[in-house]
Amino acid sequence: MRTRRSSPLPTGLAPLAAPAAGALPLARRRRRHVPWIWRRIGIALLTLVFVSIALFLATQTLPGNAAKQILGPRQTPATVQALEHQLGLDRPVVTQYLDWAGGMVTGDLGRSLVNQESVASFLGPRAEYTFVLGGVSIVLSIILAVIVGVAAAARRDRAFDHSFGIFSLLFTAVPEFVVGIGLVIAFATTLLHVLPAVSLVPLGASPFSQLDVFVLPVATLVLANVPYLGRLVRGSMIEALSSEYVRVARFKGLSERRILYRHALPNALVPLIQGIATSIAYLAGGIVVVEFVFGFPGLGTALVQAVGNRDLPVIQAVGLLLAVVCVTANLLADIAVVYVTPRLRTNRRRA
Amino acid sequence: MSINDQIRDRLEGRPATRREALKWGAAAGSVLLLGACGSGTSGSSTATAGSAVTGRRGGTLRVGLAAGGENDTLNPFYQAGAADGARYFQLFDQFLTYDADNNIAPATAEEFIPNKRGDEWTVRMREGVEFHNGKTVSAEDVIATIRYGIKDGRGPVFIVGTQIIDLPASKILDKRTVRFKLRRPFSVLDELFAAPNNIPLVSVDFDARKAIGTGPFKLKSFVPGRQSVFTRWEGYYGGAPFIDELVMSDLTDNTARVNALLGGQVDMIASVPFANVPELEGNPSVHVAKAPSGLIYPFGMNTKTAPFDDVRVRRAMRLLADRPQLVASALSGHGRVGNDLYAIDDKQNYDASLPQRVQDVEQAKSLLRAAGRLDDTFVLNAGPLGAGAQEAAQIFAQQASAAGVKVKAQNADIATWASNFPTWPFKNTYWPGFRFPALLALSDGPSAPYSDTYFGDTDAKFRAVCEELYRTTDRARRTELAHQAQALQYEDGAYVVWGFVDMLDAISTKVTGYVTDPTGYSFGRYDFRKVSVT
Repeated sequence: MRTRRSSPLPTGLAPLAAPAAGALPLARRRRRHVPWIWRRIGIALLTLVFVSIALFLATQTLPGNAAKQILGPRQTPATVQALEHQLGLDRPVVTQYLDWAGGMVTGDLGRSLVNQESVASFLGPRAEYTFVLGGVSIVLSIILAVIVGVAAAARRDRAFDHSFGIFSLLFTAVPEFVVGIGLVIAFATTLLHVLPAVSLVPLGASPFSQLDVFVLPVATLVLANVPYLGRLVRGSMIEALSSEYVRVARFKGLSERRILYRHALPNALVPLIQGIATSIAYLAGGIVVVEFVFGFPGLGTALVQAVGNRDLPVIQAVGLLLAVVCVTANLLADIAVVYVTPRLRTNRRRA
Repeated sequence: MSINDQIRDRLEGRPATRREALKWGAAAGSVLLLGACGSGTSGSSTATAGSAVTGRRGGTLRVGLAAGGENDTLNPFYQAGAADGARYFQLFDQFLTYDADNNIAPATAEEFIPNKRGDEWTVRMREGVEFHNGKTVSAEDVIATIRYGIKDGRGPVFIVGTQIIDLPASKILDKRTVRFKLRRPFSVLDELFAAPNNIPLVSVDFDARKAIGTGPFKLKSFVPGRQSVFTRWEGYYGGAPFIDELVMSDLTDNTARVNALLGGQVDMIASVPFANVPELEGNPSVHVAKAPSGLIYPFGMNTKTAPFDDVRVRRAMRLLADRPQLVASALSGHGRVGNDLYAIDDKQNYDASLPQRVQDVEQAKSLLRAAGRLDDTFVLNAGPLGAGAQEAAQIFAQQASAAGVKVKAQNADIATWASNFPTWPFKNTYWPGFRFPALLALSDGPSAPYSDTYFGDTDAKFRAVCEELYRTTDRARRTELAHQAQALQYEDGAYVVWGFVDMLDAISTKVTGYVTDPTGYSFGRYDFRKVSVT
């Protein structure tokens, strides 16, 4: 196993393979991470169970139920009762939950209470749209954040860094729906008319055939995330750049660019990885708002409507899906951090 | 519509109102004006005249609806939301309809006549009306309509089919004629069949998912909460519409809806938010159609429970309302002041001679004092029934508090409102601009199925007048009785009808041929039969 002892890296900030750990036999090292991973996965699954129970209870506390929502304004108690019975809403709460949970475990997400469609087929196309929106937004945010963060760190306290600071403050302070509406005014309705204000997507259309509908929502989410991630990158880059080993590298005569990208940046990645996990969690909430502003046909609008309709199976499905995404993101981030930080991997006894 | 709007419409070649459309149709001298049509049906005469209203054939019309959600349904017998109503008017026809003067006129039924006692009604369907699958309407379809309504178990057809019509005793007289036998005399059955969005005509092989009716458009696709697409029905009895395709999108978010129009993604939007009216009126590519309507968001008082079982308390509440201020603030001035009576546009029945009630705080307080309720706190529950509905409740509460009476407005979400409004003592509610007899039968008359005040059940005098009205087939006498009923509603009734809401819709200038009417449904009951897109 190659250690990094060959390059001039210190023991301070940079996560390195410590010599002592390198002395351990391979087999013992590998066995040490396995229990940790299973434990983390177990915790993740438990989190999902708690999330589903919490969603269930929260929906129960809301006044009204799906039957009353379906029947609308001019309903009579008799018809409400009949429909409640038909939808199984008159059963005890625990029975309803266990029934649903049993279905979940076997992969059956149930049927929407409100339009009787299978939840899976109803949410499928919407999930596609939301994942494309979220995926594209996070990838673009990461790329832009790294570029801008590194540039700001390299030009610290100069014009670019200051303007980046102001830009981040502005977009962190301004809520996403305001940013979204601002973009709509600029590009769709008032100044220019080049992009659609509302995501009126024809039925069954694949996301890739409707790319113009993605531009403004993605822009809104990117503008919301880049400040946070960018400042994270900038902060850890500044720390990395002011460390001893970078000074040594400079004395050695390495080019600034090489120092930036090959030595400083990899060490600034750990906070970025954790920041990405946080951003993904934050994105889940942001997506609901942005989808609403643009009328985007995704999970966010489905969730908002399902809550209004007390459509339990849909609420659970979307809620759990978002929870899975957040939990997985955190899990992967933790794993990634450990793999990028060999010291954590092998030095658990000391840590 | 203001006189300026009418002038502009005339100059631009658009029929400004349904009345205008019909004048043009009559001028073209349609032969079909005789016989079935009264003062002009909403579409049959003008449409068949064809060239009467100039329109360009072809194109797609895109409409943004202000309502809709996952609980959208195509079922014409029971609809949960306003967006469902928009679709109903495209796919289905009723037996009867309202004409431009808000009177009952034939639609798919050319005759709808009671016997003297009012317990037998003979319905003769128009010749040659076709369903979207090409099948011609016959007497069997009439019976089937009532049967399906009963089977559905909800909605007006269920009420009519189980409580009013005795279906087993009803007979088919010939290919196009049915005689309904009623369980008891009910002289206003035609009013229920004419009220918009109430009783659709469906066929013997009706399937709620296929939504086959006789309406001007056929269903092409439907995604609840998102969009529905329709195509022209060439065999429409009133003459095929001009546009090839109609796309209706659910755009409940106000900002999204207005943006969609401004960005050119839709051609018409229903329910312009008040705040956007000045902006849209100033925009040269868009026209705001404002039309007075009978739509109301009254406050209802439950006469079965204290304290509103005491008529003095009800009178006091009505006297506390500053109606002009309610219209100015809750509706941003887009409305007419109300006089605690509904159906203001029903010229045949509305009693306009009753003096306009004004705020009288002293009288209100003395009534409350006499009833021993001056120090009570009254909770007014308000649901988000439409633009201005909850605001009106808030403003009324403020008006009462300023007068020294403790009224607290409490907002509720729509699900809570829907399940509680029949029993809440004091709440807001809504009624469209139906004619007086239909609203009476549905809202505060005796045994009204959707009552929220039960006034017709608790007040013996009112009940007696209503029951006589339901037995009276003579129209003149019925109008007299309607006036008597309104006098009682005015004095002792349980609604605070503070105002009538104006319809505010916005249309791109590329669109011609739209209409408006006072029924409280946008675009004259979403009537796109004469619309063209340039």
